[in-house]
Amino acid sequence: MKQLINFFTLLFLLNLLACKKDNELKSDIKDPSINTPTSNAKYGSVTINFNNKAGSESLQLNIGNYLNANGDSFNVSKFKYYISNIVLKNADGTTFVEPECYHLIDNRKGNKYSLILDSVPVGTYNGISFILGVDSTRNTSGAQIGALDPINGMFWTWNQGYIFLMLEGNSPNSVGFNNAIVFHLGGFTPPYNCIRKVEPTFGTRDLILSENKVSKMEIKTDILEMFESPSLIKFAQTSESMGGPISVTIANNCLNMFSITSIEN
Amino acid sequence: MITRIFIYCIIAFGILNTISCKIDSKVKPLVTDDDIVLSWPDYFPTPVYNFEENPRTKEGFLLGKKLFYDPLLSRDNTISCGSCHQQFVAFAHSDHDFSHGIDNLLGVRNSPVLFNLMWQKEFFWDGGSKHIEVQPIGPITNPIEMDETLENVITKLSNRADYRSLFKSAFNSDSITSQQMLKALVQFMGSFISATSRYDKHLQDPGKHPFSTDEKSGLAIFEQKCGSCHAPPLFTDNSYRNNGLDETFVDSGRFHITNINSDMGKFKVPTLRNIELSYPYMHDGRFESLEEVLSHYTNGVKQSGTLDPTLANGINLSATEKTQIVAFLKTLTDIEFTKDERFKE
Repeated sequence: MKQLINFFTLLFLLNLLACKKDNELKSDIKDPSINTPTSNAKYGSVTINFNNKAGSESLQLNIGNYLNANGDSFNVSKFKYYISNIVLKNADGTTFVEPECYHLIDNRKGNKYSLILDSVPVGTYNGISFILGVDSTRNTSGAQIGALDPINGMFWTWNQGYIFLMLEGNSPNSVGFNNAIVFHLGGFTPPYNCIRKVEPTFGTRDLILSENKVSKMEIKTDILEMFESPSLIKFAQTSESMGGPISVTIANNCLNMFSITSIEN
Repeated sequence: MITRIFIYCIIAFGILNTISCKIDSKVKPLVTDDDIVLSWPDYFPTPVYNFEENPRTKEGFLLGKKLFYDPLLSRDNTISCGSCHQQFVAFAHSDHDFSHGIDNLLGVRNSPVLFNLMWQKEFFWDGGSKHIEVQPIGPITNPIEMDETLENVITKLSNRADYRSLFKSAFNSDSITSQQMLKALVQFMGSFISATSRYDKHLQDPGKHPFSTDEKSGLAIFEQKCGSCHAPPLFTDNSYRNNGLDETFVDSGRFHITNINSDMGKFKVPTLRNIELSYPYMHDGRFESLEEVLSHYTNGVKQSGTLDPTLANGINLSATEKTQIVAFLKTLTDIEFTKDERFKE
């Protein structure tokens, strides 16, 4: 009997050993470390809402009918874009840079997208900038997760890299197949680099961040601007782009696409 | 009585532990940690991809291998990576100018060899892929190759108990992501190193592995007339060039990626390691033999605006020189690599 006990004890110990690696792996998982401010500095936060519009109307996929500056009517079935590298400019000359973060704004999920910047030092801010698209580093850093997961359909598989902005729909003026309009902006190497740093102006308003308070900024993203200035796009001539020169032309128009409509302190 | 309870407890523990270890023993590989250690000769350059962000484990390697050979990655579960990348021909597609993809559709370019990928900055004939980890998304989603969406691949994998446990043991996470799948594939494919050809052995110990007179002469002519593009030790300079195959271009090549006119009709200079095995040759597989390739360079080069300046007058080679170059090129065949058990299906 004793031998039997010894045998099973041995078996038990052996099994423990065999599984040790598994357990070790589990205990290896670390909580993401959170940077807690150590000094006496005070922090506030701001909610930034991106509101997708066509002129003054809220963008409605499939239902809405819109007119571009050339007078071509069109509708939109897909509208998605990346916002990244958000920077707030303090009146004292310093800047707050959002810790590395990529926002995929997909109108299918609603025409308002909210993001919150917190742990921003309190103070008066008079400028903002962000990238429409994904910086070249993340375009060439291998397999990504989250908003940059290629599963989100914003990744070119043949000329690999992210699609920064995607607008698809129909226009009776379009010369494309089935009157489609298909604009995919992407590409991060010269001369067809479509990454654009956007700096909508604050005007006379300032963003004032205070402790224990959430300020709010509303940004309008106007799809009509994509086709207006400085290059007027006529769907009878230009109904699609997949990177290259046309995408660059539209990316330049996109510099006018974002405007700040209100700031609540 | 107490002894008996004690025994039961131990038996129960033993069984429980056996169960909890079952997953482990399933993956228990023929591969050990030592087997996946990567090594290459000191005359190789520093790799472009160093696995720093994708630490190699035998679990990751074996998962990558299973994925590589699994047709689940295609829309109708018929085509795997291994269908068009066969180990016995250095992971090219044996004797196929174009490969049959899904629904028996023919591809438009010759399936390239897969090895020494760690040293490659860009992938595909036109360099459309800029990173080894995202490269597989190309063939997986290409409508004439595997025609599947990444989303579906992840769903299919997540529905399989065997994959769930393999991903768990490789990445210690309860859900399967595209990032894990791609990293596992790279842990496998990135391990393909071809550096044990007769050429390599000769380089390391010429006394023990001598070259024949033809091979020696072939090497000298090669270095003089071919080596500027097919630069040793990887036998490519990773550039894109128009080598005079056509006057006009059915396939715009590098232009398709850059939209720059001067890139029209250019393709990546392929490595010549294992070239004896990876026929047919060129991006469209138009040449069946190395002799045909050399004849192209001596008297077949066609003029066009983007023709590589080094080929403006072709390459001058006598019949003997051609024979010697072919003899040398065959020293680049690496049978140890093509028979490496670790990479076998």
